[in-house]
Amino acid sequence: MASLKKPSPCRWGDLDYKTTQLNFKMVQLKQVSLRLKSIKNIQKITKTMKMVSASKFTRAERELQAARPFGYGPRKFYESSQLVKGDVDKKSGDKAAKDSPPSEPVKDKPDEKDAKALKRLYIAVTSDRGLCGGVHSGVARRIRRDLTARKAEGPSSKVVCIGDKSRAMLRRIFAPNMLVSVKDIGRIAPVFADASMIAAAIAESGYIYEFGEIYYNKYFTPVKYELTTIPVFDKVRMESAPNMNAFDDVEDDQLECYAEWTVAALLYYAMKESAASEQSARMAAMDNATKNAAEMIRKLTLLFNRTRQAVITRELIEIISGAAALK
Amino acid sequence: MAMALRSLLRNSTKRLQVRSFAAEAPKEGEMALTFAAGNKVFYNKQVVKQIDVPSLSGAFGILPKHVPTLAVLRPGVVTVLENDGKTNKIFVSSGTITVNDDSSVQVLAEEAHPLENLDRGAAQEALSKAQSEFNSAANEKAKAEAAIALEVAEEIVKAASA
Repeated sequence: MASLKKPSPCRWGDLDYKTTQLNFKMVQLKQVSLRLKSIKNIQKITKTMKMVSASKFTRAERELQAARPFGYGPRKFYESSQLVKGDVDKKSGDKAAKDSPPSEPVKDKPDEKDAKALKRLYIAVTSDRGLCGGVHSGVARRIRRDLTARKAEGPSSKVVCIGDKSRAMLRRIFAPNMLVSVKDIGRIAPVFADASMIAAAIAESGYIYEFGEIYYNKYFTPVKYELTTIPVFDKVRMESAPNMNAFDDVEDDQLECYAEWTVAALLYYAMKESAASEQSARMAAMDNATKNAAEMIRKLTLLFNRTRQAVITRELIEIISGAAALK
Repeated sequence: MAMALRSLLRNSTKRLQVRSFAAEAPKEGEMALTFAAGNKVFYNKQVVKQIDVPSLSGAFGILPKHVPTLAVLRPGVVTVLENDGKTNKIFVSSGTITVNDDSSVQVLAEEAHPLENLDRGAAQEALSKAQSEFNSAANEKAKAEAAIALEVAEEIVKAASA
């Protein structure tokens, strides 16, 4: 017992020091155990969310297969009528965005001033739900960048926000540009009626746009999605497409119907793509969160056991040294 | 032996693949139909002989090398004559038809169902409901909406009883 080191003297008496040390350890023990409990609960939640989004994801992916032709049809028409030059889809690689503004309508190339004053419509396809990685913020960030880059157009461009997330991220900076925002997206799988409702709201807003773009996350595989834009046009644009004279004469009101319906179809397609990407991203995010929680639990358990052991050891030492002093 | 078997297997799968690709890719002068609805994909770039569609400007048939055109579907029956001579009748509610210059056709419908899935009794019920809604519609917009529902219901009844 002689080898026992005496704690170095401190301001409070020897006994005081010991009790504070002990108390401190006990408090730490309590804190660790509380923390451990809350992290275990968080892990349960993330695990459940992962399973929920996994089942939602399989459904979204299945429905996406059915919705793909809705994107393919208009795309094919854009190509054959040469409404859009080159690739209809524009990927959002940083390089591409810097090099060229995404898919300019062909007509506006000659007059620079005209192109600047273009009335644009930005449609952000997101949802109300978060906790899915950078799915929504990617869309919002891209629109913010494009809008700031084309500041000259000022308030003539409008933003349509589908889902609360993009609205929350864009409304502060672009409050005067807000045209329509749609809530209640993402709770249940989007159906065609949702898309046509949004398309009707855009049409009813009375804003005449010259060039619209839908920003959405295109789904490739469960681990890969890519921010993509697809252009939308109204009747006037479609009429003046370069290769439109190859097409049979179409009555005016029929073309209008066609254009409006195409907007709805594209919105439906974009919403389906984005729903699938969102669920897959949430799955990945929740999987990571669960893993992180497991890691934290492992570390905290270790800390807890060590602290507990330390407290026990200290108590033992005190008892034994007390007994030795009585001898 | 195992090697020989494996190579045989590989060759056969390769051949199979080649064959399926050849069947999928539409040749010159053939018409690839994409027919999809919100609920189901009926044809995906499949080569067919003829398609009859009901459009706002009247029903018309599409054969290969049809002049490129755009049209809007009205409620009615789309008839697809497949390459093996089978006809497939599908009821559509609304949508668009696009005939492109490469003679590919895209029919996109909001809702579409094969004719045999339509139930006449239910259609009659929907028709009478639409009629009463049309009669009790308060404003112009509600009236127009009810008129659309009425038209669809009428066409379903017509298609189901045909």
